[in-house]
Amino acid sequence: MILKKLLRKWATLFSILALFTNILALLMVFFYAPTEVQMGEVQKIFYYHVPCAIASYFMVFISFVFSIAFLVKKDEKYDIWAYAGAEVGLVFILCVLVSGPIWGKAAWGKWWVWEPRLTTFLIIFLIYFSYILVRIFGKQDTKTLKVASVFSIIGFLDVPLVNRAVYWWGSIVHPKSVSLEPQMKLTFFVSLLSVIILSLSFLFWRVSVDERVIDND
Amino acid sequence: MKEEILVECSHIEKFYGKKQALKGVDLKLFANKITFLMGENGAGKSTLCKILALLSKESNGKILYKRREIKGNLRDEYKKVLGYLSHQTFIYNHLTALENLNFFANLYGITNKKEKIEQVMSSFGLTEYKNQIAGTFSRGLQQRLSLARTLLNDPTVLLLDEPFAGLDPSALYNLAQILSELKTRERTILVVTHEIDDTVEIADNFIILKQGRKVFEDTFYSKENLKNTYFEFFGGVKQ
Amino acid sequence: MNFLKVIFFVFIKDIKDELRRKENILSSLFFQLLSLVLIHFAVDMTSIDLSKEGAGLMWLIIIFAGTIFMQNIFRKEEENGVFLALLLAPVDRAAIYLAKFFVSFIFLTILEVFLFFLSFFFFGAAVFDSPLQLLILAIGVNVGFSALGTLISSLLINQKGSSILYPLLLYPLLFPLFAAAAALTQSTLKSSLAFSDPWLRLIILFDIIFLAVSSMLFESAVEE
Repeated sequence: MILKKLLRKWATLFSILALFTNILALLMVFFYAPTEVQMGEVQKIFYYHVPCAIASYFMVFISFVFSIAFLVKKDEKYDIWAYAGAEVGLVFILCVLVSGPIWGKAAWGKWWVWEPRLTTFLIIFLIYFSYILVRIFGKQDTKTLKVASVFSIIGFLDVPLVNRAVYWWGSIVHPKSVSLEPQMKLTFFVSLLSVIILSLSFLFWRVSVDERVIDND
Repeated sequence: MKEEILVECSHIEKFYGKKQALKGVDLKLFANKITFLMGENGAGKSTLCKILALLSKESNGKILYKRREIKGNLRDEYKKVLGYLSHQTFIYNHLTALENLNFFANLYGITNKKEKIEQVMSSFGLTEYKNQIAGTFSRGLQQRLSLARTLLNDPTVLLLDEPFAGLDPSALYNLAQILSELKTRERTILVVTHEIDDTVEIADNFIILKQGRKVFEDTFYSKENLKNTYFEFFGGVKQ
Repeated sequence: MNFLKVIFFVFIKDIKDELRRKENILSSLFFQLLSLVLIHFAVDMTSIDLSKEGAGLMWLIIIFAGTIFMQNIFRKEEENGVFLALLLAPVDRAAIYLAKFFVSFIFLTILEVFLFFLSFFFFGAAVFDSPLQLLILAIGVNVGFSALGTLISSLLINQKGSSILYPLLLYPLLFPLFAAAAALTQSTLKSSLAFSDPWLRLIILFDIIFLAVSSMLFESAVEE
């Protein structure tokens, strides 16, 4: 059983942590990290764009793991986590899809360029949006939970293949991982940490509001 | 004669999310007896029946067949002697009666397939229809084919999940006849139903489920007796 | 019970049933003709190089037509609740899945051969310059396509709104396969298919992963 009270505690703890790390990360992004020579200020999006991508992978991985657990054990407490993981994952996928074009507009002068990594995220977005649609369509019956969990497993395994396909298809290349200056590196890791903590706090909140979580006083 | 327990489940629990459909049910099916499992809609009867048929997985608890837990090789052994009948007919609409029986005989790996099929067909009066498409059959004929299909593998354990639902009186009578006949041929039968009608006369034991709990279990005395007990739990007019 | 025997019995039964009810295969074949004509009036197909952008259009038609077919592959089990009877039988459930997979596979291949023929007939596509290679490619695609198509079809048995959900679930997953198929058809029609082609490896990888995973997942997916 998942206990609401305990979850709320964790969620609050992570929220506070997320608040402080994010403030720190923001300060570092704007005042500590040097401005990149070629791109200028807009390069700073990178400090959130990439961590969001990593956080979304992390969240859909959580969904993947708990979906397997649900299918094996047929215990709905795992499904609650799987659902939450996919939903929070989708939020971060959206962040990637929004921050990418803003950067792209500055770099290439176009909002959308069929650039491999961004396109990969578009497909991943389609996969996890379908996942959410299934959940909305099917309400909470056991059948829907199974459909969703199988889909989450297959969808997750599909991601690397999608990534390969998009790479060979497109010709425009993502900015090569430029060698970051030490200050940039440090800033990046702080903001990565802050986004991961944020995603975890979202996850705990999301699980705690699931109606299947038992309310104990 | 000491009564032998053929199938037994102990402390079965089943969760559907927050909702608990079964709250620790124990059930024993005695060899060669007919057990009636009764209760209102949503009492968990069908869920329990599905769990016994291995169509649904229990959240907690154990199912035993011949006093051994059903897993591994015993699973297939148990499925081989299991018959399950519901208000659905389980027959392919676009295959002929013979093809239907043949297909399921193949799945059950029945050795003397031809004779067995001929035997069930003649005992249910299907021989003359054997090359007709099952989908064109009348309701009664489909019911007979369905029964023939269920008895193809000579099940020693028969689970009947609301088999009387939607049957007209004559079909109902026939089914009850067939059930009591089956009993004399050494079969262990579980009937899930919520109706108290003439069919209950064939019961040996009856069990009442209420909100996922077993609230009553006894051998069968009479229909009146059963009715009174039933209404005690669910309200209604005492007779 | 022998695993292969079960696959065989279910497969034969299914083919017999499909051929008898006809609606599935006929409607998907007809759909191909229909959409080919429609697409011709959207983009003049005679002016499109079928070994270039046209190749993708071909696979688009195949995906849609295949959807029509595979969406209904468990329809006969939905009638009268026969699916439960299959699950009750003392057989390995993966065998049931694999039998259905083979049925989808066979009918998809028929659909593709028909479409290649149509595109040759109407637009003179160079499909018969390297028919064997095209067939190998089609088979490679069909394995992955029917592996996922059959699994998702089985998930949606007796599900409300399954006809809407089916394409929504299937298409995003098929993306790598579709891209590979389109790219490889272009190169196959232009030159020859090479095993070293990364696209072909992608298809093979896709097939292996999803056929294996699907047959593993089927068992627990159909149990309540």
